[in-house]
Amino acid sequence: MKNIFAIALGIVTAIGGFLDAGTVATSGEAGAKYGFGLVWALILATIEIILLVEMVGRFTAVSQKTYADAIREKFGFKFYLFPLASELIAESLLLAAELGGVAIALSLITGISWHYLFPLAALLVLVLVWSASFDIIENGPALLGLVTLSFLVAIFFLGPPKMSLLQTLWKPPIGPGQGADYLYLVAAILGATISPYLLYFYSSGAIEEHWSGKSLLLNRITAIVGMGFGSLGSLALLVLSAMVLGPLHIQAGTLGEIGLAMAKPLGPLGGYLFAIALFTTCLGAALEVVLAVSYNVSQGFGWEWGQNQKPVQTARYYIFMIVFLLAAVFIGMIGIDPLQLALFASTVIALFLPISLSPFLFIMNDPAYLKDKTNGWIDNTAIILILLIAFAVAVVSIPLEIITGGG
Amino acid sequence: MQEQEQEQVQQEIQEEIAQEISPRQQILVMRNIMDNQLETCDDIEIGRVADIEAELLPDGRLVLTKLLTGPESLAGRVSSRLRPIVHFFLRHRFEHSIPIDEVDGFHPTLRLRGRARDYTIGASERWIANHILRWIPGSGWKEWHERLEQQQPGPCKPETEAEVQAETGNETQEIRAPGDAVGTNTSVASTTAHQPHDHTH
Repeated sequence: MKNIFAIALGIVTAIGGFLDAGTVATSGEAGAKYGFGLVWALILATIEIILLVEMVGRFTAVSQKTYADAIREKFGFKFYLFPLASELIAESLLLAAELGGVAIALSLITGISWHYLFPLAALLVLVLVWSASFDIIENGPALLGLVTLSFLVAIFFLGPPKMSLLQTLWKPPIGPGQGADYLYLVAAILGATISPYLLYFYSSGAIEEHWSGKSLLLNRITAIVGMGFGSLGSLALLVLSAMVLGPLHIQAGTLGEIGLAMAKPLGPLGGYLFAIALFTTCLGAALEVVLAVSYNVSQGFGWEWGQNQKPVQTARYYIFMIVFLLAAVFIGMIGIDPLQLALFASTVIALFLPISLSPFLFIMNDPAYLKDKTNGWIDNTAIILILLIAFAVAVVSIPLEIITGGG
Repeated sequence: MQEQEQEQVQQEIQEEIAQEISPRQQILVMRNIMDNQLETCDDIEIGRVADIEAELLPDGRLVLTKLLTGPESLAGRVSSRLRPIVHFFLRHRFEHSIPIDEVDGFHPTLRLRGRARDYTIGASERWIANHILRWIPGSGWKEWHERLEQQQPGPCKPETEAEVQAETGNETQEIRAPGDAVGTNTSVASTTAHQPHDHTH
């Protein structure tokens, strides 16, 4: 019974926790500009993250080491600096975007400018990471994030899409000069969905929750079913944007504009539901990003860490968390629109993906860690394909960012 | 199928036997030591091994004497040119060394005989707790401080002379890089060239 509850909770939290500012921004803009033309990118990204999450969960459950532990111990300190540096840069931008998403959600509800609510969002995150246990941080926002299922309800109220829109599924409406922008969104979708912070967070969470070799089934179901259903939220938002914003030629340039897609089928209630969904998903993501980076640094340098211990017992872990949060606040206070920041952060993440993911190929085939649970040829082929895609995306992401001006 | 199961059982038995061998009698490779987690006997993780110090004995054996941690050792791992720059700013203030005798076990972490408060490495953690976090509500400082005050210093379990004699053959551990015979490769210890600096407890 306990196992069934754990599995159900894992699925539910994966569903509710899938979306964040990056996926909202990329899904919303993708749908508004290209109809269903980027559904394939979303599905590809979902398959990749399912595979990666399953692997990292299996690795930690069997070896009792986190991903950051493995990178430091297997590849040495010099190599470890590369994924560390890439994570610090990319996730500080993403955290600023997530805090901005929370602020915008509050702004949609209260009418107060998000610039004034930004510090409040940061304070909320600080209070939660300081005082809440891992279970509350992982499950709380994710359970609240189930409100994203209202996107599916909104689609139901809109009715079936027109044939002309359905055709964009295999024939994306890429106009003259829009090729670079289309590819830019592909890179951004991949970067937003395959966020390395998720892997560090999931791996550390497996230790926090005392997973062992007996948790492999839980891990597999959470990864496949949870992440699979979780992507429904992203897909639903893309479809909503395609059906509502696209015909109105609204480019979804801000998070507030994306919310209009909910307002048409559901009226003012739709607007509030979108705001609540944005609040819970961005808050959950902000908490995960802060924890993921602190986990990475603490584990890499061998400090005591853990969300279930008192702050004085893990002093360096908490101090780093506070400093990192302050850095993100500083970035956010510059005043860049959170949607633009989310897109930029997703592009930077895409740029660094090969650095973050390449250790997988080696650690997942090391019997010293995984004993008899090392990758089979299918998993290894999948990693190689993922890495090839990641390299391709990394090469084009920054040039496309420059050419398109950030989407 | 039955043969496979039998092979698996035999493999597990071999692994258990290997683990029963005293840590001091195991042959280690660099992977068992460098960058590995340091954990005290009261289950506190205090850092990772950044570098090692070894001694070439007159009989030609290369023996490991100390484990080193700290930003200067780490800087030397990144680049030998970085070490003097870091030394200029930090002046060995954050460098720590742990005699190899303090190590009680090498797998899955490097387990140390003493408690966390007995080592200077990790002092920054206690400093942050005592000077910064204690003033923030909900930090748990009061209970943590009281528990530390009540703690006895020294190893978590007393060692009798007989136990020490039974366990140790050598006081230091022979090391080798993968593929190298013991004591023939002096470059094993030369991950960075530096003068030893003693910051032991």
